[in-house]
Amino acid sequence: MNASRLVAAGLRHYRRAHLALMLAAAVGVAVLAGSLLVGSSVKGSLREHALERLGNVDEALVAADYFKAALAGAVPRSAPAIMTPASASHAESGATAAHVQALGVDARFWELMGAADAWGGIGEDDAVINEALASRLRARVGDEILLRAQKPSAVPRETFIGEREETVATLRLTVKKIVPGKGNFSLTPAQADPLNVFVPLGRLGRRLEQPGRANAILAAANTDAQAKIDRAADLDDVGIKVAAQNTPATPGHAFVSVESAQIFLPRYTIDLATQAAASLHARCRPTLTYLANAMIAGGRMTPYSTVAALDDLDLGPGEIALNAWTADDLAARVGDRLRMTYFLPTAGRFVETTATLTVARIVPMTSPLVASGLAPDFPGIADAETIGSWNPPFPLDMKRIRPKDEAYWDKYRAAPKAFVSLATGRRLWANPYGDATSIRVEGVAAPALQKAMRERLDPARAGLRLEPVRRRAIEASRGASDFAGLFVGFSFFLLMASAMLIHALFQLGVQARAREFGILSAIGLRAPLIRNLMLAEGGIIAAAGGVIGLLLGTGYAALLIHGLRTWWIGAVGAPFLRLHVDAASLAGGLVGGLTIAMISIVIAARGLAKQGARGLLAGRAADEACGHSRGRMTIAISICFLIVGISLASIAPSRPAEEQAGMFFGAGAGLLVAALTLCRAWLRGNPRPARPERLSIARLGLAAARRRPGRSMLVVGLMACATFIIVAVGAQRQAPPATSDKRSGAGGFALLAESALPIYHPLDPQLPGGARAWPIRLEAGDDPSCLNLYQSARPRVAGVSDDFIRRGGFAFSQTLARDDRTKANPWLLLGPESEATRAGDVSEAFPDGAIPAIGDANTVMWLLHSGLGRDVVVDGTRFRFVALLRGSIFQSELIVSERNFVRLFPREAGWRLFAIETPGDPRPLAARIESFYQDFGLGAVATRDRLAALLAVENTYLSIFMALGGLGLLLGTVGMALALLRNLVERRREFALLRAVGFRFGQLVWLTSSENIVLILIGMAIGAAAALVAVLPASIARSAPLPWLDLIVMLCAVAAIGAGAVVAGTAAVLRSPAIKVLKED
Amino acid sequence: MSDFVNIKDLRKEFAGAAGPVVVLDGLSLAVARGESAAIMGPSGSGKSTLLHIIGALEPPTAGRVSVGGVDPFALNEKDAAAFRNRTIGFVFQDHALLPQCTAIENVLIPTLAGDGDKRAAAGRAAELLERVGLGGRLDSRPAELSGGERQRVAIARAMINRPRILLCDEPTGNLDAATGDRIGELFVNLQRAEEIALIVVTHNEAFARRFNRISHLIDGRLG
Repeated sequence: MNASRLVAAGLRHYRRAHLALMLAAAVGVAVLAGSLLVGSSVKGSLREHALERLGNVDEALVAADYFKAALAGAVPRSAPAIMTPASASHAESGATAAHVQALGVDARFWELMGAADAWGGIGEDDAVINEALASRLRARVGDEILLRAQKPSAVPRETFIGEREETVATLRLTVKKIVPGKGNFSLTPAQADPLNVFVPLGRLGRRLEQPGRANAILAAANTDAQAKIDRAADLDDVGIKVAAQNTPATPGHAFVSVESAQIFLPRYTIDLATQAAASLHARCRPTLTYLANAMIAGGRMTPYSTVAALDDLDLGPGEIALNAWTADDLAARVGDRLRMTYFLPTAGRFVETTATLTVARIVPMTSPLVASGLAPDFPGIADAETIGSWNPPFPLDMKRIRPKDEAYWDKYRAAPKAFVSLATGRRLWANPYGDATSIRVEGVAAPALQKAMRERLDPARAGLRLEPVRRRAIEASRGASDFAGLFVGFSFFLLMASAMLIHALFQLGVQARAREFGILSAIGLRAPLIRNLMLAEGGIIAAAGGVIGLLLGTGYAALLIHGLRTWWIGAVGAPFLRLHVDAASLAGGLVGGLTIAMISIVIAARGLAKQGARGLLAGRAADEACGHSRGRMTIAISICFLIVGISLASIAPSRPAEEQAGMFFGAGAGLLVAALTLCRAWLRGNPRPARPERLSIARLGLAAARRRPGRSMLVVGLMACATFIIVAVGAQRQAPPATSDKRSGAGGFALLAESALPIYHPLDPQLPGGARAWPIRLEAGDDPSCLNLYQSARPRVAGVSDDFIRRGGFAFSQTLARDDRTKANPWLLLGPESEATRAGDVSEAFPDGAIPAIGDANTVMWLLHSGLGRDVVVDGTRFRFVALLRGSIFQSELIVSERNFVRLFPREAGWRLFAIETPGDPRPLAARIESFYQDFGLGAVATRDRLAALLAVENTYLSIFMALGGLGLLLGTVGMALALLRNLVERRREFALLRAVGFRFGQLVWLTSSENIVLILIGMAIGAAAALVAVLPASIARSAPLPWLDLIVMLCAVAAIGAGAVVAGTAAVLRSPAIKVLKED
Repeated sequence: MSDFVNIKDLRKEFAGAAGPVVVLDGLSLAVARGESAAIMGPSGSGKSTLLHIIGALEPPTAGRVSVGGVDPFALNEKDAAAFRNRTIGFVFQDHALLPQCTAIENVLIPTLAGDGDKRAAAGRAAELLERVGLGGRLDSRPAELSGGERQRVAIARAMINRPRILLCDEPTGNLDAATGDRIGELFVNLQRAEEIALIVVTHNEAFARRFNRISHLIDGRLG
């Protein structure tokens, strides 16, 4: 006989009792492994989903401007494409879909996607759509659809020369095929399927006035694909025009002009031209040419003139030089004051302003500066034969045009009529797109300059950059939230119940075998050896349970994944989730679960060592009440936790809202532990005898509860923790707030409308009286809110106007406001009142360049993993949060000032987001504006519905927590029932005696149940009180009443389940005939 | 003197692996009020079974049982419990005290099954404990008492509801001879003072001799 054989004999003999312990250990491992498997399954599913949409595409180039489609030919296994936002409608039914992705593709795309058959037989007027769009439009093969896509514009639409009227091109197409799977192509990972229309590349290009051009290259894995594009791209592909210019007045005085299709030269183009000119030792002069609506001096007016800002004439600030023709026309002389009217460059609407300048020089018409080459090709103007045939995007007063103006146009075309210094020009016509309209390079031939520029061209910097979309999709599929951690948290109570069950079962086993261990001790085995024998038994049982737990865990994960796909779809919106079993998760679950099991076993085994051989032989285990000696220590621990709880509760009101929630929760948890510890001390204490006449069945029950304090604490602890979690979590459930309140999460806005294509006009004319729309700029990006499971690499950014900022409103959880004005309206921190602006920085950025931003607290904290005063970096731009909104409609955006928005995203013209105030029912208004702006794919949602959708996610997560908490409670109830059963079995003789002395069956059930029901109620009272401390202050602070009714119903259900289990278990045991018990004894 | 306990042709069988096992077979017994009887017999002879049948804890297979003129097995569960509570006092070999209760609380436990005057019950419990020599140990718990003291508490408990018969199952089985002797004396004194019937099952001949008569249970019958 040796220790191993003794352990083996113990395992064999007590196999039935061990089965329960093994199953408890299995549950612990199953819960942990299952939770980790959910995490890996979510990641795996997101990854599969994202990669499936990419087909074989590894890299993608999506440019802001169009380039020749043939450029794709430079990269093997690639396809050119036009990718543009659009809206679509069914030609017959009128069913519409906003936020459609229009893709101009050819057969190369489908080969790349591995679905060449999908494109077979597609004609010029045909389209292929994916299932999601077919479903949205209720379209079938053969149906006609109308596709509305935004016409590209190299000229920024925000500028006065940008086209803002004819911005949408409509295509009537016949649905030729509906392609599932590969038809869901998308470069942006998202749970929801995209709405895709595939149109022949040539057809879409022509309709968008970009024949033979594309704005995207999609490529499979290639070696040096970017280098191949770099070699193949030319200046035209990045919108650079290099042309030789001759001045009509001074033939032979030629220069080379570097211009841009965008009119205003980006900084990169200016640098490129400057470097190329320098390499050729040529002189290089930037020019900013603008269009003046009128120049007025001495009561005379010259209409519609180009004015060049350059440094050739050595003009001072506020000075203007006129060419001789204009000076003559205005009868102006040097020293005269001149008023010049012009449209502000980027007001978004036509706002005319006036500058007053002093005539400093008269430039002869023979000057090389009087050259049409100085003016860029203004759209609708440059190619016109006469001024009368101008067709510019801005309003033109033809009555101002005189015959002499036509004569000037005939002779000099767009040659400048006036000049200001470059500094003056940049001051007057400052804009985010560029501070020059051309670069004049003198002393060099155009081909030489072109060659020099091409040699130095870096297409990637100019916007032709291949992005590793596959790698990014994989990174994004790591998810914004750690689902493994989330579900470990959700399963916390289940884990705790499992640990308590293991502890209870092992302790029960130890107690049942106390006499056996006493014999071992009496015959000379030392306590550590006996303890090790027990631990070895426990460890082997736990390990066996762990193996079973891995199987159960896989099932548990499968159940949770099924739940996420069905019952809890509201939390994740990802019906494609499926179980992914990986070794790491299983190993993590096994190790973690066994660790918890062994800790529980070690704690339970501790008591054995505390009983001497005599005590063990008498059948006593550590759970017997021990009197006062341990009570003092327990009370000291309890007081410590009480102090921690009270301290946290006292400090919390002075902390920010988010910290408050955590601190109050900590305070509640501290009080919970303190109360449980006190309860334990009370149960273990040696109470002073009560007066005999007060003896009752209930008191008898209470006395019995104190007989086994460990088991009683199992019941109290379980119920306290269950109640704490139910109340604390249940109290977080929220109903959508009243949106009419300006200080609510909706800011007083009734509707939030978003268009697929930018709208360049105010919505107000379409709104009824009393309603007002606040346009907001929007840069397309990822939705960083809880509605998106993928990790957001580029959260979308919104730009709010000064009017919006001044309007204020919304509820804030934290702000950096330090004075009364910004405290009253934290929106001011974005712009005029920001720290950056006060420091004199007109760009409204912090001294280190960070842009002030506002975000929703939940999004910022949990999904962007940032916080107040902290930064997030998006494409190299740092956004610093100056205020955090609470429960707002803006959970999907980072909000910056409009000025910063325009500076950061100059190509994002127009408005796509509209916050609308309306006094009446918002839904009819939503239908009205959706109909009016159908071409722009505008969709409007009541802010109450949006908040409800966002809250639904939160509430669904709470439901998951509650459901898993319920499972934990169930498991805990099993543990409680086992402890109860053991108690009853141990006390059978006592019950037999009571029956012998005349107790009725009902009285016995009441006697025995009352002690456990009292424990249940004590536990629930402790849990509820601690939870209320945890959540009530935060609830009062945010004016969100607790869902009392729900909580009371839930707690009643818990009490009923506990009491029911107790009464049923008691009745079952007590039904055993008294005499049988007496005989057994 | 009329018989308080009257048993005629009592038969008790238990199910066994090889068929019914007959423990009591045609047993008859009569014990009058104020009379004490000791029943002796070897282990397994059915002494305790007889006591349990008299105490209405287990029904007989056949025969007639009358205790105080009542057939306890004709009563429903509620009335049977009340009958046991008011008519019978039990004393077991291992005293069967509730460890969580004090001595006086243990004595009071049978009163909880009824709805009598609590204050009066507490007074009688204290008086009983005084009578059994534990007047100074009212608030002691069983763990703080010796074996003999525990058994005295058990006797006081059995007497609390003024039973008309006391059934004692090996009350000195766990006690040394001197303590057992003192307990025997206590039984006799109490029985005389309260004028109750007393039936004691015991192996202890000396103890048995303290009572009015001694019967031996052999082959299921009293001789």
